[in-house]
Amino acid sequence: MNKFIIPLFIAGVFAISAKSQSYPVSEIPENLLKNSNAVVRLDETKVTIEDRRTQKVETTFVITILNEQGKRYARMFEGYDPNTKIKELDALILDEEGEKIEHIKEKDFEDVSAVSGGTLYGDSRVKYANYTATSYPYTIVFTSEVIDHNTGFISTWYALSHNYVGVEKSVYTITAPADLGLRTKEFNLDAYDVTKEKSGTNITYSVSNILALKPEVMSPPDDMLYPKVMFGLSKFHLEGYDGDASSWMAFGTWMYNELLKETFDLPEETKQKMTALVADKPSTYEKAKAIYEYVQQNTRYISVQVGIGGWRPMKASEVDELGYGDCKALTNYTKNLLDAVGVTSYYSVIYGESDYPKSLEEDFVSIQGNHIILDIPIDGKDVWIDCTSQDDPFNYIGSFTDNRTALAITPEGGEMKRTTSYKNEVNKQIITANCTIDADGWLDGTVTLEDMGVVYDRFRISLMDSDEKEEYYKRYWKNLNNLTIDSIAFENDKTSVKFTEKITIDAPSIISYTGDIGLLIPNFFNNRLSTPERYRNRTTPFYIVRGFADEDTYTIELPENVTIDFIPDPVHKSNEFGNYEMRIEANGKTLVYHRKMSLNAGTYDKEKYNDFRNFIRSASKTDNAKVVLKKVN
Amino acid sequence: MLAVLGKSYAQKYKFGHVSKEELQEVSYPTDADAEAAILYNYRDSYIFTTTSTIELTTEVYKKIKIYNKEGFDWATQTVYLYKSGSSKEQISKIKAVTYNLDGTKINETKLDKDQIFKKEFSYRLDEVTFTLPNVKEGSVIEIEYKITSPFYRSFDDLNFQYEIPVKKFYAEIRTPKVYTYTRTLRGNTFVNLTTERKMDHRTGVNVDVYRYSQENIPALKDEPFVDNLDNYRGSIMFELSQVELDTRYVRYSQSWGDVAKEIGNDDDYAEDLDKARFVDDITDPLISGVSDPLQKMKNIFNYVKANYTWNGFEGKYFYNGLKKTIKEKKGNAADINLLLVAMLRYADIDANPVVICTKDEVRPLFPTLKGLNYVIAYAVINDQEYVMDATREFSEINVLPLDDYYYDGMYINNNSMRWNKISLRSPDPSLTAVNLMATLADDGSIEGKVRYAYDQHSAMIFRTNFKGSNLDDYTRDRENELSGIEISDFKVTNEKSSDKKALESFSFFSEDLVEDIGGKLYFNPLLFLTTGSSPFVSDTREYPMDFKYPFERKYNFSLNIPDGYKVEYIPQSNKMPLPDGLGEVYYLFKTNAMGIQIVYDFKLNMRLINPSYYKDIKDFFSKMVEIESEKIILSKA
Repeated sequence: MNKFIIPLFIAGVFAISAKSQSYPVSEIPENLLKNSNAVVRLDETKVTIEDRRTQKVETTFVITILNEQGKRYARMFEGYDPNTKIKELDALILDEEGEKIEHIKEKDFEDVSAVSGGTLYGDSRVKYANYTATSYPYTIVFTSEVIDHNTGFISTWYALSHNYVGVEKSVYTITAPADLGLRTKEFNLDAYDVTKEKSGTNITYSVSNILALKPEVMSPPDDMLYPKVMFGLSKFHLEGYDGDASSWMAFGTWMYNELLKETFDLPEETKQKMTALVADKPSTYEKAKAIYEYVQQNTRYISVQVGIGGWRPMKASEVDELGYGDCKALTNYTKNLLDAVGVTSYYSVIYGESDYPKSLEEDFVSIQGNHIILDIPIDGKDVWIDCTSQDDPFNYIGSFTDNRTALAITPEGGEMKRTTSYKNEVNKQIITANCTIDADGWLDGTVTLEDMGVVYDRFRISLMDSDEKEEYYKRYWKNLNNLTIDSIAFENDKTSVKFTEKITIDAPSIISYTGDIGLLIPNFFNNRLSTPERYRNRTTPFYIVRGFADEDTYTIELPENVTIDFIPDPVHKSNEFGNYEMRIEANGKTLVYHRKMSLNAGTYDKEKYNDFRNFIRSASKTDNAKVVLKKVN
Repeated sequence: MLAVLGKSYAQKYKFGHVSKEELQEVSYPTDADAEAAILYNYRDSYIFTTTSTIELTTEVYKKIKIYNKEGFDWATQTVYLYKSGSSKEQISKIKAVTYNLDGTKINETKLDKDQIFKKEFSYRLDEVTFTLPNVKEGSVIEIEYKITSPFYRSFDDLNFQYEIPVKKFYAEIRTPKVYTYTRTLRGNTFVNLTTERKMDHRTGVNVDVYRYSQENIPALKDEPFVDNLDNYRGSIMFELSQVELDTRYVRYSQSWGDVAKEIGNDDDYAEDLDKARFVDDITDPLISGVSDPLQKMKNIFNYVKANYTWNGFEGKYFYNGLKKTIKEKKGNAADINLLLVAMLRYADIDANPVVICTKDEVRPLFPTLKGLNYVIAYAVINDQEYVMDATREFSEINVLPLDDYYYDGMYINNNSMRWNKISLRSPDPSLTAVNLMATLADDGSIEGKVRYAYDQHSAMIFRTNFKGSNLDDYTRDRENELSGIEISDFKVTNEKSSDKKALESFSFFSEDLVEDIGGKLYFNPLLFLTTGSSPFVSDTREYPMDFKYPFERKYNFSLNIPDGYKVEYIPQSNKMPLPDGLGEVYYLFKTNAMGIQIVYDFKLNMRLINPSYYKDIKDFFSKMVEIESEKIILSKA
């Protein structure tokens, strides 16, 4: 299991002149109400970098909640910790006409730990206001001021941050002493009428009237569609340390020297133990693999985040003693163990995100990422490992960190690299089955599934209890009514990263008789496609994250008491999205069912969505193609 | 005799006694799937009284074996400490050690004090958490701590069954003789109990000692369709029922009548509610000129629902109190439903509170004050009984939120001095009626119109899901749910709360429901309403199945077949009952002059079904899937 390092960061926020204003709902432009559950009336952020060690963030966030679904966007909170102080916190609740209903003062905000369930302990806290609406619509005027003694993170301007929310006006102003080297990076602004003003050390972005968006299936992640601007300082400060982000090289040097170096204190005894452990290993690859397996057997993931500990790993000696740590600690520990046996490796910063490969912004130097993995360059190739995983094979990272940029921290500085990609036919699943059907229509079968690429992640089935495994397969093949799982066996080949599942099953009434006519759907084991939703007017492109290639071959012995009346014609469809093939051969009483399907990773124009949908729809229909049998006596 | 027995009870553990055999064990002997096991779960609780304080002390010891990586979570311990005002529970003497086998040597690693973390979890709870160092596959860990608590009236439930097996369990509870506690055992696991009355030398008073013990307690298994898993967990509950002071007895809840009376005597009920004199302004306009009491009740119920917002908190006692609730127009379950009672009473309706236990709580097994967490309104008009819960927008009179149907309710009528139990375990059945008319074309396409009519809880669920939906999105979701049919003219009637049925209707078109195989048309009789797959796949069942409410689903289809085609095959009509009147399904397949008529009528008559019926239920669903997979075949005439 992989875990995140960094506690959720809550952007600083605060308030300027909005308090005295009233916000009648009638003033919301008509077009902003369409598809909206809430409308942001004003989102004003003012960031003042006072010096390298201080930033003030003032926020005014005014939002009209139109209905119950809009409640979740009523943001009324600020995070804080020992280095981040809340100076002002206030919320006004206004009715439809803009008249005050309630005033929530700072002392009425709830104060709770902001540490999520995955972390044993952390020092970040949050103050939030609770308001139970008695009618809709209503408007919240939230204002805050936060002084942050870290300048390593500067709030990103999200002109739009949610679906179903219209935005009347969003303004972001930042000012910083010129010598700190303020930089910006803009994303997806072209589609919106964004104004950018620069005067002296002041930069202001503003935008008005953004219509509410509705989510669409298979659309690229919001992060890749929404307008936003990132900010960063070349000279910053983090939890007591001055940092340098003028280049990845400089940033990496800073991290190496200030955050990592002093944690390299592996005890001599452990170094010798490691030397002994790899003594008989013939190659660097084998040595590194042995060390990784040692770490997997002797440590586990536990997260504690306090102060600079949110950024600096625990000392190697401490992990050695406690046998646990977070991703920083475990990665750094592994690096130290590898160093002890003369294998070079680099602590690497990355985003852990399974839904899509979220990259660090390569051309924007700043503190990014939420996870740490290890890069081991061996013979000119990078081997990547996730030290928080207790089960992943060596040189396999799966969908959590694949195919994206990572910042490797070397003694010479930071270096942008790219992790292993699992794409298209690499993600292969081969299913073969030998089945017999008896005179009563009872199916007996032996199925073998071979999983490669990210499909290898299916090895997690082997970690389930025996009851859970059985239930898993019954639900996985829910197209087989009243299925019994007779045996389950696995083969986990960690060297070639291939997981093999051998299952024997039986199921009654596989032939559905209507009088003398029997129908048989021979696609027993890969019949899971569902047609994606239909859009009358699709507005976003669609996105196939990794792609895959499936190959199925089932041999089916039919009973003596039937004859084959009809066999569906072969189907072969191929297009830019992928390929689908199905054919059924009959040889006396033996049917051989062949199926191949692949999808190609990529982002496709919205205009092609209907073609794609039709492709899946017809594949799904073909998956249910029926062989017609006739009963003979 | 007692002395001899007393000796044999010596179950006290010795910290640090971990054997090589324990470290070498690779799996639990009777449960190979167990990721970890509790080798010894020991607890010693005693009440210590001085002239000014009463304190409950609990000493805890656990020895846990970790078999594999999935078991590592058991090495992290979290203790919640309750607090209320200046009274709070305290933890002390935390000691924890990990043992690993290194060759033949046993290695010990102690928990560092600086690895123990305490934080405020909520305004009621502090959280103390720590994790053992150096935990590996095969480790054995020992944990010991002591909790002192001023909350002696009810103990935390004494759980002795966990998601992993327990090899040995021993608990000793010592209470002063003058305190009588109700003790209840929950779950299917038997535990041994011995009791003894003796002089406690430390405190110099007579005490009752309860000793519970058991060995090899199996792991608690989870299952789908369970109301609340904690109902089936092996545990012992202690609640104070009586205190003997000199010659006087102070009795706490000993019967449900006592519980109801005790709640009734609380100021929230006896003062605020029973003496409420300020609801006239809001009630008068609702009842002026109305003579029918039923209509008055409807007006008041709808008014409270529409104008007072539930803050999401349950509660049998006020969060705001009636006056503040009226002013702020929001409150917890007690604020809203007791306001409703007060208004009904003002309208001369015989109305009283009923205190209940919702599904969030463990189902009570004995009269308990603590186990009741919620209150609803109850009224009688012309000998007809009505229950009401105005916290949820789509609840109706006699249609309560589903979590309210769980256990009996306690009727609290202080004025006529009546405190008794009423049944609330299941609502009346809800009906979903579907009418469908469709025409098949010879190209295999099908188009038609459907109308759904939902009543009672079906209506409540439909309205809740539909509320606030964007019509386009909702239509698309329906298309997806219903085999990808294309929907047009989507319309909903009575989507607002109402005692009328909620209606949903639309036209549909599909090219995917009918298959042309060798020139014949094949289709499932129930089209896009086919059951598909059975929700029950396990071979066995331990706990009752919770279907949330009894229901009936009735479909009436009328299908026109294309010109030039005839019905070559149509499945047999079929009626299939569940045993003991639990339910039944009826299929009618009939050819008539126009084409085909299909009726499907599925009734499930019980909310909660005993696990002894599991096989019947499982076979029943499977058989439905099988019947519905039989095709209708049309061929050219």
